[in-house]
Amino acid sequence: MTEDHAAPLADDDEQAFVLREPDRAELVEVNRTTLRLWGWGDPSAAPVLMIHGAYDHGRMFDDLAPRVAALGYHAIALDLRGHGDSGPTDTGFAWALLHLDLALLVRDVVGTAVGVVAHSFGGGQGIGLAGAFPELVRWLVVIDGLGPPPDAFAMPDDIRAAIRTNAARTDRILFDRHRREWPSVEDMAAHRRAQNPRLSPGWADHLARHGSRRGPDGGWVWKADPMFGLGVPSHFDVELLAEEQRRVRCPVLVITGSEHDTWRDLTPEQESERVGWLRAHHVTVPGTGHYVHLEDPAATVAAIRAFVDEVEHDRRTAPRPG
Amino acid sequence: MTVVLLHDLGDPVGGAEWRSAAPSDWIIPDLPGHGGTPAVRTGHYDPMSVVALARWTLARDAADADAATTLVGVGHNAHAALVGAAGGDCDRVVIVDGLWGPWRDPADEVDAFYAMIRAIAADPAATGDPPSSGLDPRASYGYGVMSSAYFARRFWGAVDQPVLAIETPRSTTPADERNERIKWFGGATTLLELDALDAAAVVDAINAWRPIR
Repeated sequence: MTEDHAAPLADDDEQAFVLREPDRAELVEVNRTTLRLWGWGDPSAAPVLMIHGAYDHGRMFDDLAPRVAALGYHAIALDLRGHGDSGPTDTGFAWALLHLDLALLVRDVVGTAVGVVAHSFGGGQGIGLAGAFPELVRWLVVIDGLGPPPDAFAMPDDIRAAIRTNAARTDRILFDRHRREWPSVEDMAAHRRAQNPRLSPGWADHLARHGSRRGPDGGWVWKADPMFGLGVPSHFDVELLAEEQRRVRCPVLVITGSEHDTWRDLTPEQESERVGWLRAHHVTVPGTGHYVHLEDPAATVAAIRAFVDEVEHDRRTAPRPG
Repeated sequence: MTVVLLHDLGDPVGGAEWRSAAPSDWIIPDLPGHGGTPAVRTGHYDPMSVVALARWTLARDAADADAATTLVGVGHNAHAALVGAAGGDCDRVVIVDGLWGPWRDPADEVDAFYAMIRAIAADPAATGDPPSSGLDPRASYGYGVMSSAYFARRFWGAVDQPVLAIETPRSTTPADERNERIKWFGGATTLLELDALDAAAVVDAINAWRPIR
């Protein structure tokens, strides 16, 4: 496949929105759950694992993944646990759990070390995977996933109220079967666009279509498990984030946009500091926001190509299981 | 008085030892993945599920709306009990070996976190299908909750119910820090140090406790 075959047309100007369906789809049993995998390219080629962000799903890579496959890789996007078609989660206290899912997926299913392309929350997961299991990651590309700004780690002023709110949400999710149902996928897409104004109508529709399913009352509900948004009080701060990022020893490329956007909260100084913790190459793609790879997939894959050309000269013969 | 006791995560006999020592009207479940209770559906353990279980149990089984409710958390589940207390689920709270261990610097904290994940990944029994009863090996690895002195001060400060902190030889809290740490709670606190982790002695201590609000 060539890049041209995979190239979508921007739909901001009413052009057709064309994405390449995955070549393969499968469900695998890993770490006591089921994970949905989407595959593009030659399965015998060196694998690249693509990790989506919170509340998204693997089909967000329907544009970038075939382009990565065209570089000579087997691109594998997954639905994280609690997302898409993968198994549920009991809580949002799932950071370690998702690290484990990824590690066991790579070790036991993929069977060899992977390159990783990860977006947003998935970037944090990729960093954790590479830090905790360095033998499983050849290189890492983080797309606007360097973690939240320092003030996001602050404990709430009213801890008691936060815990009560969390408890009420838990009960509502577990005991009230009437999750919000949307009348149509189009309404869900409109909601996504309201959240992320930079998303094109085509992408908002695509993300909503593959991120939703029929609800019990005939409408549509998001596939993402609402329990994912819950948690218990625990400690985390920028010092721990820095330590996690410093643990990554494989080559790292950070790709960020240039535009203000939802969930793009770091100052340039904070971004630079974190790039330093990762000892990463850094590419800024002009004219893009948080979803760099959706807004400018060609520039994104060009950055990835330049990076892997430098760190992995012969992709097709990248190390296989020993 | 309604008492709900949350045994330690990874207790080989679940709540059995505590049930044998406690009055029959105490509520001491086998938590998921322990004793007669199957593992959670996701096969992974986190304190939030235990907090929810405690909250629902207290709400359902409080025999008398005017009677005091006590939540007891042992070891890893001391944190769950304190989360419940901070959420207003009980009138008083008892933690057994629940004052956290030595504070770690970020490097040691991440070391410990990654070591835990790697240990689980290396244990086929902890990642394969859980047993239908008895101790799930996965439960032996802890919750992976990170803490710090700053976090404990802030979080415990939100617990304004009376707290009884019982420390046994199994505690990992430095002995010379315990008196300081219990001052971080938002309400009246009593520290009791026992010579052994003996369920009957802990139960006796709780029964003898007369908290002052």
